Amino acid sequence: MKSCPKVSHGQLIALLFAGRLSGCLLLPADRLSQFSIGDCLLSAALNGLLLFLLFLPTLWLLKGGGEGTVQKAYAQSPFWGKIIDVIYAVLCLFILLVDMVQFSDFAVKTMREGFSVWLLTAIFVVSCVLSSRCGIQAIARAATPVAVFSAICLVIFAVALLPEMRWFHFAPQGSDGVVRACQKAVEDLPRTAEVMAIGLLYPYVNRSQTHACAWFSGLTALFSALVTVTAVGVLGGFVGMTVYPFYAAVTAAKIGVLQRLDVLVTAVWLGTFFMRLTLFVLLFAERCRSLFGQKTTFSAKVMVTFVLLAAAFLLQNTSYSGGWQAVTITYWWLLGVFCFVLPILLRIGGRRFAKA
Amino acid sequence: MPKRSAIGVLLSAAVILCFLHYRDTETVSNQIVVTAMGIEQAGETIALSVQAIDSLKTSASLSEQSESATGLYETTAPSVSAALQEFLNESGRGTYILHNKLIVIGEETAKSGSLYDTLDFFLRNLECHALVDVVICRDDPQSLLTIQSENDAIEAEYVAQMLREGERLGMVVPSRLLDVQQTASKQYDVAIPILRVENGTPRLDGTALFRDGYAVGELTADETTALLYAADAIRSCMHTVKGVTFRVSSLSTTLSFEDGGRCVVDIRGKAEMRESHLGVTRREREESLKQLERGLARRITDVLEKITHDYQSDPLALKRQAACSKCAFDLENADFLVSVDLRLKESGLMK
Repeated sequence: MKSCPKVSHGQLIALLFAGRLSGCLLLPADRLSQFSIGDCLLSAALNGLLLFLLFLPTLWLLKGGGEGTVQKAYAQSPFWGKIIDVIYAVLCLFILLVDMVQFSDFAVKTMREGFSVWLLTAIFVVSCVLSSRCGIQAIARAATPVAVFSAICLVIFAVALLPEMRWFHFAPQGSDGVVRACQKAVEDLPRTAEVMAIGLLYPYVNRSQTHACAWFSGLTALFSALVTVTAVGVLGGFVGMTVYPFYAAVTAAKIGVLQRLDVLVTAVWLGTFFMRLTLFVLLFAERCRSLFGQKTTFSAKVMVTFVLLAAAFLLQNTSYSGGWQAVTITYWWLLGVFCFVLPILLRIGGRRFAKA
Repeated sequence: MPKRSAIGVLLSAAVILCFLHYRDTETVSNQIVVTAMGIEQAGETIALSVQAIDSLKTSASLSEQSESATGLYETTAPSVSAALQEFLNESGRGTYILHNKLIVIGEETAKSGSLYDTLDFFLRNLECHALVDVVICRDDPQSLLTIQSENDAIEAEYVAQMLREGERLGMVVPSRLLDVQQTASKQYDVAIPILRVENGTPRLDGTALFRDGYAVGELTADETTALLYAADAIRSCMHTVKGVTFRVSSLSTTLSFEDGGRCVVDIRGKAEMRESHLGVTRREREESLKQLERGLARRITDVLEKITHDYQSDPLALKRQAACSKCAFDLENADFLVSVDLRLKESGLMK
């Protein structure tokens, strides 16, 4: 892994942030109508803080060396390393599957009736799988303009919607506002699956990742707040009656001759989602390569293509919002395992290995 | 093919596919472009009137169109979406509603049922733009959809423009589909302008008030202006007092709530003298202005009391705003203290 290609801090931030923005656009509507401005901001700030705290155990484990979580495990014991490798491969596949279901659900709801989501998904997945072959450096380079463009678009949407926002659409600041904000901050954590994969990305970054993780957490908090405030400010109580409130809010925006901006949301969503999917396909393929050798990489990619297409096709009619509860619970367990249990176990194992 | 080229081709294909199939880019050559829709309940069915452009019959550029570019089609079905589908029998073409500018609800329909039930198709589906105007027509919606305009090839644009100007001049409450959406959770109420057709011309005829989506009453044109003052939704407005005409502008309305449940409405702005009889002294102008302030305060108080006491309607989201200010507020027994403070501004070259 010493000779693996490296990306800069900025590129890592862009890579993580572009992926996270695709989740921001699909903001869940649950309980948002009960939120005050203070709750929205507090929840976003807490979410950013918690995200950064989730990064810390892995960063503490990998501090100083250029190795990732899997390499650390291999260094302690090949058997232990293989187990960790398999676990990470399953994690990447799980994230890809959930994202794919979300992708098809959003496409079905926003595209014209009769639109072949199946065809779009097929082209999209094949593009992602092919792009993952270009390597982490190419993906990271592409992520920078995508992240910048998407962030600018989100700011434009918010500014364009300012005349439609009403301050009284936000709920009154209640005594239980802090509790609500904390609940939402915790509930939103699973939407940032990137935090679990930081151990895999570590070897690709040329210096310590602490600053990059802090920047990523801060940007995530900032744009989560922007998206939430925009959706609630524009739609008010209607936010709780929609599946994708931010998208619904943007349909009311217009700038000069541009009568509808929802097409721009679709562009942002496609771009950011592409980056996220490509990154996780690459990480999955890397795990397969590590487990079964270089020759299996192609087979792994073919396999992941079919699995993703099958998931998108078979679960197309499953409402993502309805199934989000089960997905959230699973993600919490995974966050616990990948952000706390695994780094601590590897640290303990590392000390014993050093003593032996 | 090199790897990067293949990715580029595939990605381009995905983007093109996506945008070609995007709702906004549907081919319109074999469809009629809906510019306004009228909804009237007819027993168990909906009578849908559709003002539409037949793209095959219009000039390449609408600015070159000498006559009306639209035609009126009518159909009846159990629901709006069914009526749109039924449209095929009427015109031999499908409907394209992304360019719809106006939704007209018949007065009887507005009074007989829930507004949200009537507009559910538009609230649920995003094809129709959120900024489409929603109005109530005193007569049959067809009468508003068949008006003739010499300036506009598309008549719905004439009505939409009239509503925009009316909003600006404090004569019309803003009422777009987004406003209906915002009140759909029933945290506050919507108010919708009423239009009537007189000698083939649309006229503003007050405002319909709703409570939880059901029509409860109406405001006259003067009362509408007073409501808009309280809602901070006027950019400029003309008032004539004792032969002096003032143009009131730069308005700012602040609503605050006292612990006893009283709502304090504080309105500030500029009053520019636009016209008066010769020989009116400055002192007399100031006297007229004072009278205007007192008159406005009284009218606004009366309207707010009428809306809250008589109709228990809440188009200004008073309950919501009071809750945000942590004050108890009861619509039925609401007490209002309205103050209007206008600063006299000289204009023109005459003293």
